Formats: sequence, C-alpha cells, structure tokens
Amino acid sequence: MKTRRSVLRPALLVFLLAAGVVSGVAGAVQDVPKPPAAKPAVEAAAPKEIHPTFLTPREKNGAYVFVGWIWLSIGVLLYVLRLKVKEADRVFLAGFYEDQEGGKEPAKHA
Amino acid sequence: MKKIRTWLDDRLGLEALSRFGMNKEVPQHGHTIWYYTGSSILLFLGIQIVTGVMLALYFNPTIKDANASVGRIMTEIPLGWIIRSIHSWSATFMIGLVLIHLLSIAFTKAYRPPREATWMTGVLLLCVSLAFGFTGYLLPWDDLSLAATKVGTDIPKAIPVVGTWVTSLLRGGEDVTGDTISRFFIVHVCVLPLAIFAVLGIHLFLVQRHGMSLPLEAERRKETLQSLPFWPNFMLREAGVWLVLLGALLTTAIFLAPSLGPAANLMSPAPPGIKPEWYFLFMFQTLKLFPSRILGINGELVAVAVMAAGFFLVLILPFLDNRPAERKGRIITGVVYATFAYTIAMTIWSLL
Repeated sequence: MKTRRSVLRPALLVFLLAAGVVSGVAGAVQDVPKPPAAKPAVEAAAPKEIHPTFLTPREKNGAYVFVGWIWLSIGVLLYVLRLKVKEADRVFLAGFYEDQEGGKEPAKHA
Repeated sequence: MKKIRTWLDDRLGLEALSRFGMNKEVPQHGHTIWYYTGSSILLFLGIQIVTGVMLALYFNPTIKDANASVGRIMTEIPLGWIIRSIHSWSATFMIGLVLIHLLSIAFTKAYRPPREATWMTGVLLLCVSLAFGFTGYLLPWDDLSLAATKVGTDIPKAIPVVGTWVTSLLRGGEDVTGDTISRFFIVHVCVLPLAIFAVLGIHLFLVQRHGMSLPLEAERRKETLQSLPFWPNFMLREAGVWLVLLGALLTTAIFLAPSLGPAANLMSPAPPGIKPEWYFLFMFQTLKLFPSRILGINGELVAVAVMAAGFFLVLILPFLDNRPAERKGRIITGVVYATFAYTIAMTIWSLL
C-alpha cells in the first residue's frame, strides 16, 4: 500500500508539471501579436471650440464705431430727455393738464 | 399729418390711451427707482423676442445639426454672433432684473393686500423666465449644455412615484437625446412665450387695477406724497433708463460674447467642472451640500423637498405676511434678508 502511494505521488507531480508546461506553451503560441489597426482613410477633425469673433477687419472696426456711436447717441438723447423731463414737470406743476379732458391736477397720495 | 393722426385715432382710440397714461399716477418718493425695474424687464423681453426670431431662422433643432447650426450662425452669418450674444446677455439682464424686481417688492412689502395676486403672478413670471433659461441652455448642444441638462432633468427623479415619469417627460425618453432638443426647442419658442404672455397680461392688468404701491413708512404715517402722470413725465424718465440699459447690453454683448463648445457626444463622460447658468448656481450648490442619505431617506429627495417648500413659501408670502401697513413684519423681513444672503453665498461658493 505504502509502495503504491509512493509511486502515484511522483507520477501525479510529473503529470501536473507536464500539463502546466503544455498549457503554458499553448498560451504562448496563442498570444500572437495583433496586427496594427488600420488607420481611417481620413482622420476625423478634432472638435473645436468656436470663439466669437469678427469675420473681417471691416466688421471689427464697424462694431467699435457702432459702440462709440451708440454711447454718443445715448449721451445726446439723455441730455434731450432731461430737457423734456424738466419741461413736462413744469407743465404738470403749472396745472396745464387740469384744462384737458380727463387730465389730472398735481396729485397727492394720502 | 393731422389727418393721419385723426384717422388713426378714430380707428385705434389713441386719444383714450393718452388720457389713460395721463390719468395713471406714479408716486414720487425715495423708492421710486424700483418702479423702473418692471418696465426694463419688458424691454429685455422685447429684445429676447426679436433676437430669438432672428436666431430661429438659422437654428436647426436636431441632434446632428443643432451645434453646427449655432456654429454657422457664429461664423458664417454676418453679425450672427452678436445677435446670439445679445440674445444670451439680454436673458441674463432680464432674469437679473426679474430677481431685483421681486426682491424690491419683498423688501418694500408691496405684496401685502390687495396685491397678493400681483405677487403670485410675478413669482410665476420668474419661474417662466427660469424655464426659458433652462430650455435655451441645451439648444447649442455642446458638452457643457448636455451635461448640465442631464443633471437638471435628473433632479425630478428623486420625487417618489411620479419622478421617473417627469424626467422621462422632460427628456422625451430615458436619456437626453435628439428628442430632448426638439422638445426643449418647441417649449422654448412656443409653449413658454404663450405662458409668459398670458401671465404677464394678468400681472399688468393687476398692476393697473391696484396702482403703484407706496412705501410702508409713508402708508403708516399717512404721509401725503407727490405723484407724477405716467405719460409723459414718468415715461420720459423711463426712456432714459432704457437707453442706458440698451447701451450696457450692446457693449457687454460685443465684448463678452459667449463661445460655443464642440458638439456634445452622448457616449463621452461629463466634462469636469460642469455648472449651470448663474441663476441656478445656488440650487446646484445646495444639491451638492446634501449627503446621499439623511436619516435613511434619499438626500436628493430631501433637497428637492426643501427647495420645493422654499418656492411654495415664496409663492404664498402675501398670505404669511398680510398684516396692515402699521405692522412692520420684522421676522419676515429678516427671513427675506437671510434667504437673499444664502442665495448670494451659495452662488459665490459654486463659482469658486
């Protein structure tokens, strides 16, 4: 009995070793390097962020002139409006609207 | 000229309009400056409509073309980027003014009887304005807008029972896709404009019906205040404010125009540092502060419940503080100040 066990153990070890070697060799054979992936014929353009900008120097100058003109106009219009406000207030306080149908006299909120 | 005027007056009743303007009174006092915010909102709404129609002529609300069509507006259409910039900045100006208008009403307690409905329609107008901002943010279809919309439309999911359905309704499916762009575009250009005109009509009618509110101090002391006719005295002053705001809008739009990111990729992960528009930042930061679970309940659900309760309290504020003018209502004033400070702090924190 003892003799049989002593024969079987080395035989099992040899079998396992052989199986390991065989499977290792088989694995190495299967690890064939993959061929490089074919490059696309036309590479897709990388997505870009679009920053707002003037299309032409003329447009750029135009925008600057426009902003300047806008603020100049606002300044002039504010001056004119100030005069108009003063005039409207003067007319109102003089009681001009009292004469008009449906017009109001200087009202007081209680 | 006189004949044309008479002809028009016979048909349109312009004289009656002029009389109405002269009859309408605007009280003059230390807080009169807040009256200008209301009409300035209308100015920016008008600009939004005009520039929005111009952009819609070239915008294509499909997943394939949305980003490209905005890119085309910015690079090929003459002055297209300025129109887009004006649209974007006027939305910011408008929402900013709506918030200032609402705060001025809250601080001066102009929501007290009989102006409860005016306040409530004003809060609804704020909601519609925010909805305009939310739906418009997705339309350029870049990575940032896609990620922010995903986060925004994910929030209702936390609501029990109907949450998933609401998210699905908003997105037009389980995820943000091309159907979401079509949906948001239709809501942005059709549904919300109809809603804003309906609520605005009621709001303006109520403002005319109840007149301009007076400062609390003046009402308490029964002070006599001088008032001016709306037309032409107040309108001329208002025109000055409009001119300055228009100048500020144009200058900002030209020199600080928004850029456009690359087209969104549905498969790519969310870019780092995604943030919604500035007016949603305090909510975004609040959501981040809540832990995933609070006492065994989903933290997001608690956050949504807290924010919904906050909104409801703002909506019914006139019924919480309906004291006569003699009472100051210091607690409510303190709460309004605290909410304002919290909103500002959260917004700054989110920006850091």
